[in-house]
Amino acid sequence: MNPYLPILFMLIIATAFAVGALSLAMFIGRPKGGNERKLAPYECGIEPVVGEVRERFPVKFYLVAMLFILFDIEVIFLYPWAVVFRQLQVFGLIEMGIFLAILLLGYMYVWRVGALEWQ
Amino acid sequence: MSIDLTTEFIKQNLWVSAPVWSLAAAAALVLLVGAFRPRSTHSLLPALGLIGVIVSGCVTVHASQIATAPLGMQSIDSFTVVFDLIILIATAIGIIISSPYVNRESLARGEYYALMMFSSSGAMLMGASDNFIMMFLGLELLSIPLYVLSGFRRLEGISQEAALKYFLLGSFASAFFVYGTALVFAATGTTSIAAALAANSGAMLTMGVGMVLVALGFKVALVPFHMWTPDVYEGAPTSVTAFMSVVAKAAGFGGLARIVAPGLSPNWHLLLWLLAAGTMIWGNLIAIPQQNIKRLLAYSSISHAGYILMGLLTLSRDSVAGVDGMSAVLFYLLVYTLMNFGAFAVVIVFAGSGDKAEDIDDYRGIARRSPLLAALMSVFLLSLAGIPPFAGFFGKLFLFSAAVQAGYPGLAVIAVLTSVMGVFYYLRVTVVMFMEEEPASGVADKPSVSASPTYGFVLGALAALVIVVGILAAPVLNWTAGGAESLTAGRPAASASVRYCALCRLQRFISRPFAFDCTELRNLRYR
Repeated sequence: MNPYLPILFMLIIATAFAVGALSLAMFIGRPKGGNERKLAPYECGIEPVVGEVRERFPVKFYLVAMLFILFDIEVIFLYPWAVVFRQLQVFGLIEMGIFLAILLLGYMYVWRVGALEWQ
Repeated sequence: MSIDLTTEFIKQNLWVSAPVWSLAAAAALVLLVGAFRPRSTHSLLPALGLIGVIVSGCVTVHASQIATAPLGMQSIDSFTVVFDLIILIATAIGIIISSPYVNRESLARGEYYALMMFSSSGAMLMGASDNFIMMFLGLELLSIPLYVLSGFRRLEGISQEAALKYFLLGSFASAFFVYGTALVFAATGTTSIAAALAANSGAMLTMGVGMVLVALGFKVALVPFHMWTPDVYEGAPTSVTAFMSVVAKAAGFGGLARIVAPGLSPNWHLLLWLLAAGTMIWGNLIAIPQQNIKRLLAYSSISHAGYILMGLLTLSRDSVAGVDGMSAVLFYLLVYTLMNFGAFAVVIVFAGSGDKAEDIDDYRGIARRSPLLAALMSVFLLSLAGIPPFAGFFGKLFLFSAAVQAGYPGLAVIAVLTSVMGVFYYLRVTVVMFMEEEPASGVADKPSVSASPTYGFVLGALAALVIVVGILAAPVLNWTAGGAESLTAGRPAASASVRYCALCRLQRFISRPFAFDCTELRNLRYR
């Protein structure tokens, strides 16, 4: 069996699912008339946020989220290192030290330019 | 599982990557100094950056004498050294040109120079990589700082547009590179460039290599992938435009050289041929109606990518043609650095505070007010157009003759014809500057444009270099030929291995129909 066959199956299933779901919604899900509830944006069953959806909100949210992702992802690299720590020995320790030092440089920079302060 | 981690191995690894990490470390230093020292000391940052660039240059040369063993990921052969030094020269000029400009436009921040240097270290990594993964790393390190830099005039819509456009399209191109690498790996089980290309080709490998070429074609702005260029070049701060028109292009061609050199299968050559021809024709054609000087230079940079790609094609032939072609490519990259930075520096000076005067109409009759600047601009434009005795002429000559020798006469003919088209739009600016009257309305309130001492020095030095490199083309070509040799080391040699000096090439080029033989001069280049 070709090792890429599962990928082909996944491709077919994914396409079929997307097309199927959309066409099903087209046949049975078409709203007939509508009341206030039906036309309101769906938000996990809770009351939708009042007011304009395109409300302006501080760009700081974006910045904080971005920094979180950055440092979060980088810290994840510690896991594979921890797994092979014994094989890599001192070399791995130094290598990781350099990696963390670079991370620390970035952290110092971010801290210093005030990206972590809300005001 | 044990990993061979001898001290020698680590040492070799450190030296092989020394050019890249030394520049990146200098960039990090500039970044931190910019963040921790008060604003008043920021005028010293460009000097610090320059010192970093010089140190990195020394480290590069030193490292090349220590690390010779190919390690599979990156190599520091003679090509890397020549390429890195060209990038470092471009970075140094970029820093010098930027410093008065960012002060004038109040863009001065410590991050600016740091980003520029990070970007250059990515460019150096691209030219040194033997592995698709390393090249991707270099591509990202090159691109991400450039996205930020293009948006540095952050209060102006046009700059934001440039940054967003460049970012979106650039990430798309990067995605192509990653997907291409994944396909190459799926087809061959390796990400090493040489090993992957040596494998028997299949549809998957072809698709993978094609996608990688698309990504690199985007970076150097080859024609079907060039759409972003004019908008980004126009919107980005002019110093950044100058920097990326040179460094990003050089980086892309460094990467392309690393991929073409191990031997692409012949089917690709037709594709590269078409890309080169299309780029030369389309770039030069669309440059003609441009009204904005930065857009004009953007299309000019597209057409120059076509000329350079023509030189890369010679790598498909035997080693002599390859050395001739690659030495011409490296020579052209160096010359292009000098003349393009020169032209953009004049654009910066003419545009005045706030970058107001960037239309070609604004250049009308400007020679009356500032004859020296207009003359310098003409030198750079004539060099870009390829008119002797400027360096641009010799750059084009070497490229064209290399293409003819490698058996691409058709492409060389297209190149000659399209550079004649190029002469038209470069000369148009000169004509507008010298022969047209300034619009009467604005004369009274416009003082004569004068360059600051920094620009006076830089422009003088660049113009002098454009002339000197033109006159002393042979030694410079010798130097770049040394760099080209390591790329073609594994190629079959030509049966008659005659190598031509610069002078012979000129003679051969002119007297080709008469089959004039100048073999007695052939040892001049490789004394």
